[in-house]
Amino acid sequence: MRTKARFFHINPSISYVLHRVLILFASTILASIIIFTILRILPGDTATIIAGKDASVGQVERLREKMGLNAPLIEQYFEWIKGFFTGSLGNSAVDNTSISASIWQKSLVTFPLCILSLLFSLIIALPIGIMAGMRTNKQKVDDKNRGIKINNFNIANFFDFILQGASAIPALWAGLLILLLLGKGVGVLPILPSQGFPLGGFGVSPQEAFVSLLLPALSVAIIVSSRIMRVTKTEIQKVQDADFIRFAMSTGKTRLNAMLKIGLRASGTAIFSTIALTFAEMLTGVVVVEKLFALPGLSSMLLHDIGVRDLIKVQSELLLLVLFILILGIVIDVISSIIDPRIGRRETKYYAQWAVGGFRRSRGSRNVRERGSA
Amino acid sequence: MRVKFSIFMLSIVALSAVVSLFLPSDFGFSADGYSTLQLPSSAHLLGTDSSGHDLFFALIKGSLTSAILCISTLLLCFVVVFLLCMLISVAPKRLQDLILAFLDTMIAFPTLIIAMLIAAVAGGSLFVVVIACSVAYSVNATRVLSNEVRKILATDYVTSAVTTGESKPSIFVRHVFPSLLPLLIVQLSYATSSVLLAEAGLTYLGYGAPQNTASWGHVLSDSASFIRTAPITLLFPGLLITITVLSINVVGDWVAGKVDRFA
Repeated sequence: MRTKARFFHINPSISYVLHRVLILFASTILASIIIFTILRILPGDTATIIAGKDASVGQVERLREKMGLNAPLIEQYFEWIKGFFTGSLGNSAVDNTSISASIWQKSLVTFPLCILSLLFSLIIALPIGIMAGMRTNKQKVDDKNRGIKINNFNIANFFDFILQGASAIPALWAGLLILLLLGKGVGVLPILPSQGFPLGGFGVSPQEAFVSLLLPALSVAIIVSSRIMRVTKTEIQKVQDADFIRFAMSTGKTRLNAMLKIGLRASGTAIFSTIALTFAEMLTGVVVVEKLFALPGLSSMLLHDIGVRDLIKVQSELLLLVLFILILGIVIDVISSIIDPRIGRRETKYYAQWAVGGFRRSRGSRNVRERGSA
Repeated sequence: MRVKFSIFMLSIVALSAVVSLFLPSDFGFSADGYSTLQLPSSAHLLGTDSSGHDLFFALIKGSLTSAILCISTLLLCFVVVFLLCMLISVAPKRLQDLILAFLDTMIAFPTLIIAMLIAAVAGGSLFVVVIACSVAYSVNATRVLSNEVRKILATDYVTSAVTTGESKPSIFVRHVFPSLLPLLIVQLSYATSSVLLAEAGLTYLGYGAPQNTASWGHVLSDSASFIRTAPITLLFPGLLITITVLSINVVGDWVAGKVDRFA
C-alpha cells in the first residue's frame, strides 16, 4: 500500500504501531463490553449466593450495596474498565483476595504447563511433519523413473497417520490413557506422579513441580501436535518444488539440508503462527487436563470462580485472557514478517526493521520490488 | 477405504440413535448391586459401569444425544456462516474491514470458558453446548472463509456478473457461494466433530449434558473415577468418540472434494 502524501511526515513504522495499538484498544473495549454484557444479562445474583441460604432480604440488600451491584450498569462498567486500565483489578468478592495476585500465582502453573506441552508437541510434530512432507507422490514417481528403489513403507507416513487420529482424541481420554501408561499407582510403567503439584509451586520445590507437570503436558501435547504436524507437512510440500530449493540443491546441498536451511524458513510463517495460536488456545484448552491432574492453574481458577459466581473476578480474568490473545496476534504479524521477507505489509516490514534495530537494513532494496504488490 | 469405513461408522451411530428412540429408559440397567464394574462378557458386551449400567446400551443411548448435538450444530453453524459470508460479500469495503475486526475480536474468546459461563447460570443443558460451540466455530469458520470470499469477489466471473447488472445478493448465491462450498463443508465438518469433543470435556467439568441424559461424555467421565479399579471401562467410550470424530472429518473432506467444481 502506498502511503499517501501528508502535510507532515510520520515514520511508517511508527504509524504502523499506532495503527495496531488503536485497533488493539478498540478490540479490547469491544471485548470488555461483550464480557460485561454476557455476565450481566445472565440470571444468578452474586450477592444472594455469597450471603448464603439463610440470609435475610435485608442482609442481601446490604451486601449488594457494599459490592456496588445496585449502581446503574453503565456506572459499574466504567468503574471496572477504569480499574482495569489503571492496573488495579480490585479484590475478589467472595474471599477478598487480590485478583491480580491470584492471577499471577495461577499463571505460574498454567504458563509452564503450556510451554512444556508446546515443547513436547514440537519435538513430536516438527521431525514427523518435515519427513512426511518431503516424500510426496510426485517424488516417488520421479524416483521410480530414475530407477531408485521405492520404499513403500515410510515411517514418517506411519506416524503421520497415527497423529491424524490423535487430533480426534478427547482431552480427558488422552489424559486417562497417559495415566494408564505412565502414571504412578495405575500405569503399566509407573514412573511419573499423576498428581501432587507442590503448594509452593516453582518457587519452593522446582524439581517436584516440574515432574508433576510432565504427565499433563504429555497428554496435551499428543492432541496438539497433530495440528502443528499437519501444517508443517503441507507447508513443506508446498516448497518442495520451489525454485529456491532446486537452486540450493544445485549448489551442493542435499535435499534435507536445503529443506532445513531454506525451505523451513520459507514455510516458517505458517508454522509459526499455528504454533502461536495453538499456545493461545492451550491457555484455556487445558482446563480438562488441569482438573484431571488436580493442577491449580488459571482455568481451574476460572472454573471455580464461575461456580461461585464471582463475576467481578471472572470478567477481569476473561478480559486479560482476551487481551493476551489479541497482543499475541500482533506479535505473530511482526515476527512473521521477520521470518519471511516476502510477506506482510510494507509498514510491517518497516516495523520489523525498526524492532530488530536494522537487522535487515543491508537488504533494503528488496522493498522497491514489492511496493506495488503489497 | 477410509471413506467407506467412516461412512459405515457414521451410519452405525445414526442407526443406534434411531434404535435408542425405542428403548425404554432403564434398558440395560441391572440394579442388583452385584453386577457393577464388570469386565466385558457375554451378558454385558462391554462390561458395566459403577452403578450397574450396561456400557454397550449406555453408549447406544448416548448416540442419540451425540446425533442431536452434531445435527443441530451443523445446521446452526451453516446458517450463521452463510449469513456472515453473505454480509461480507455484500458489504462495502469499509464495512468489510469492520466485520473482520469484529470477528478477530470474537476469535480471542475462549470457547469452553464461555460455554461454562452460560451453563453455570442458565443450567447445564445440550442447548447451551450447541449455542456456545456454534457461535465459536462459526466465527472461526467465517474468519477462514472471509479471505476466500474476498479472493472470489476479485475473480473475472464475478466482475462479469457485476457488469451484467446482477444484484449483490444474487451474485453471492449464484457465483460466490458455489465456489465457497468445498471450504465451507470442511469447516462445517470440523465444527460438527468438535462439538462431540466439547461435550465430553464440558460434561466432565459438570457443565455439559445434564445428569439424567445419556451421553458419551457421561460414560467417559464416569469411567475416569474408576481408573484404578476398572481401567478397561474407559477404553470404549473414548475410542467411540475418537472414531466418530475422525469419521466426520474424513467424510467432510470427501464431500468437499465431490462438490468442488474446479477440481
